[in-house]
Amino acid sequence: MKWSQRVKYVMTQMFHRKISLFSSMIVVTIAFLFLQVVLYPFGERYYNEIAVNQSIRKPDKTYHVKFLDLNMNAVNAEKVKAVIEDIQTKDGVSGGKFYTHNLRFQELQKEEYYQINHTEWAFELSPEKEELMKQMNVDGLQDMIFLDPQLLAMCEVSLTDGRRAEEVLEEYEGQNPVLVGYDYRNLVTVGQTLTENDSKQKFVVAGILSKDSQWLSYGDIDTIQGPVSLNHFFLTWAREKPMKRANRDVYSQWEDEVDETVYTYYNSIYFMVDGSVSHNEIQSWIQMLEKKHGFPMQCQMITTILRDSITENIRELRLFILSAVVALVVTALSIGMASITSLLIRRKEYAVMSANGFLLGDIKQMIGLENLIKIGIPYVVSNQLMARTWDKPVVAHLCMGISGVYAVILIILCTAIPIFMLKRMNLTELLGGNAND
Amino acid sequence: MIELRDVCKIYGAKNGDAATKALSHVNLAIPDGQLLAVMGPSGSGKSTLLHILGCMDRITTGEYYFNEIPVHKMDQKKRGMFRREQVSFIFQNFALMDHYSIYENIELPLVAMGKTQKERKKRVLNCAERLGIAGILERYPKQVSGGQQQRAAIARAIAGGNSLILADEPTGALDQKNGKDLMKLLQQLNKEGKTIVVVTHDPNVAAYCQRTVCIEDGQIS
Repeated sequence: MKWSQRVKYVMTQMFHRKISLFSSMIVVTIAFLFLQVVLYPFGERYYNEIAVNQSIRKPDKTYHVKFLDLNMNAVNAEKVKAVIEDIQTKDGVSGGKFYTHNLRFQELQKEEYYQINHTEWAFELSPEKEELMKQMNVDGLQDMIFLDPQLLAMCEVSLTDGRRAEEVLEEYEGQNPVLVGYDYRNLVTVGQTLTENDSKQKFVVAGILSKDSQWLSYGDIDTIQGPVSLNHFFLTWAREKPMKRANRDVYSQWEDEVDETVYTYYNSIYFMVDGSVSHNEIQSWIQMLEKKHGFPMQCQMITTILRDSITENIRELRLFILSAVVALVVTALSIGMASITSLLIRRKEYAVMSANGFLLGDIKQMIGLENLIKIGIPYVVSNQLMARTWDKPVVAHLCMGISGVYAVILIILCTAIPIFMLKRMNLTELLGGNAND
Repeated sequence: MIELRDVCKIYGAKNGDAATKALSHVNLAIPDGQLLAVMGPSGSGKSTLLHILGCMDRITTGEYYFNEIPVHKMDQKKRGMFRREQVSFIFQNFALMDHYSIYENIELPLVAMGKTQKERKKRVLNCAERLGIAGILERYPKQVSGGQQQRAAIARAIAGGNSLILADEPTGALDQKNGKDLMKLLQQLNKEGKTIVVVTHDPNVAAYCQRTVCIEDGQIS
């Protein structure tokens, strides 16, 4: 029997029962959509983590622990935030949330973490800006810096042409090198280069801001591709004195390295803490620090954030797994039932075919072909529909791959089960006679 | 020559159900070119015998030879190929596929044999003309009469050119006139060398056959 004939018979049989065919395909399409709707955010979440891991080479399981208000009270922080927003509005500087901190990805051992003291950048304020800041007269604001449109322009020129940040710095050496956006992957290099200019530093640049006023979180790092454009730049407190660098492991060297000078001009610090570190261990660190420095560090907040983060992760993970299992089972049942129903409806046709010389192998291939069409088309359709909402190609391909593997498994199962049933059926009963007659 | 030697067919024995003996120690020889009637009451095992002859069913014990080929030793695939190459069926309810045209129904065994489209068309038209149904080839089974459906079924049976035709109550769904016409047609095919086995409980049908065997409670009497 030729394949063209098989296709013809399958198509005839399928289209003869259009309602059954289309309802079955709609159910399968919905099931695949459901599956991918569940898979995509799951994949996206892990993709983001992978992207961060690739960028900064940190261990897989990390949690952000926030140390709040070490030297600045919350009232000041709120005022500063409001003033920053005002300045940004007046100067046309693209905004960002108030966010004063120093990023420290601790280099624990053997480069598992990177120390990223990238923030020591210095540049001079123009007289106009200095005057503006004085007018604001807010405590703690005298050292604040905002971005000058000229500097932004320089960022664009310097970094969208594919050069590294340090090359740009060399070019502007002696001209008060100023704020530079950077490729996140060059973070360490930039920081190291600038360290040599510590004595010239007047302002501190820390963190990443985007033009649309959204503070970029670690999950957004993947949006920075290659040299940084105008959409990404830095904004933070300036400082009055040269900052001591805490290059060594904060955990083990805390008492030796950290003193008040280091943290005078920071109101928040982030640590990347390995997920294997227990709550109690972190709690004890905080208590030790509080005892030494003599001020509260809101350790409750730390553990709450950590605990919430873990709880949320576990809850989401369970939800995702549950949803995925439901989607898989619903899909399998719907397709399986459709396949078995189809067999029962047309078993007489198979009996007639068998009596007229069709081998079981021919019928098997026809059932397989039918399932290939019934499952393959919904798979493609659901992918096309989902593609409209996908913005991460890697995750999308992952989802397509997983649901594709699942589709193949379904095709095999939905072919094998009816064939198994077909083998056990007494087809002669269907051809007009009684098997016992 | 078809030979059944001490053939038994038992249903249900393997599944733990109560075993039903459909055929019991059947011995039967059918020479080539014979028109044989198998008669018996309902439930006597005559259809079972037919399905075994046509390899639609397996024997439980005994031996089945077709031109000295041991069919009982064949596996499922070989039996399927044997059926495709040697056997044609005619059923009481015609067993036409409703959503295929008469043409497509007649060409069914030729498709299974892998014949080319040209060859299929030639054979289908020949058979249709011979049986007087050339004008209804594009119609569907439900659009033609019972007699025409049965003629289509016979056309399908002879289209493949198989040597053995097995007819299961072929006149059961036909009126008397169509029944007679059908039996004459089978006689004509028999004269052309086909071996034909007709299962029936109608003595009038059996009268058209060269030989009649009776079967009762699975045993040939």
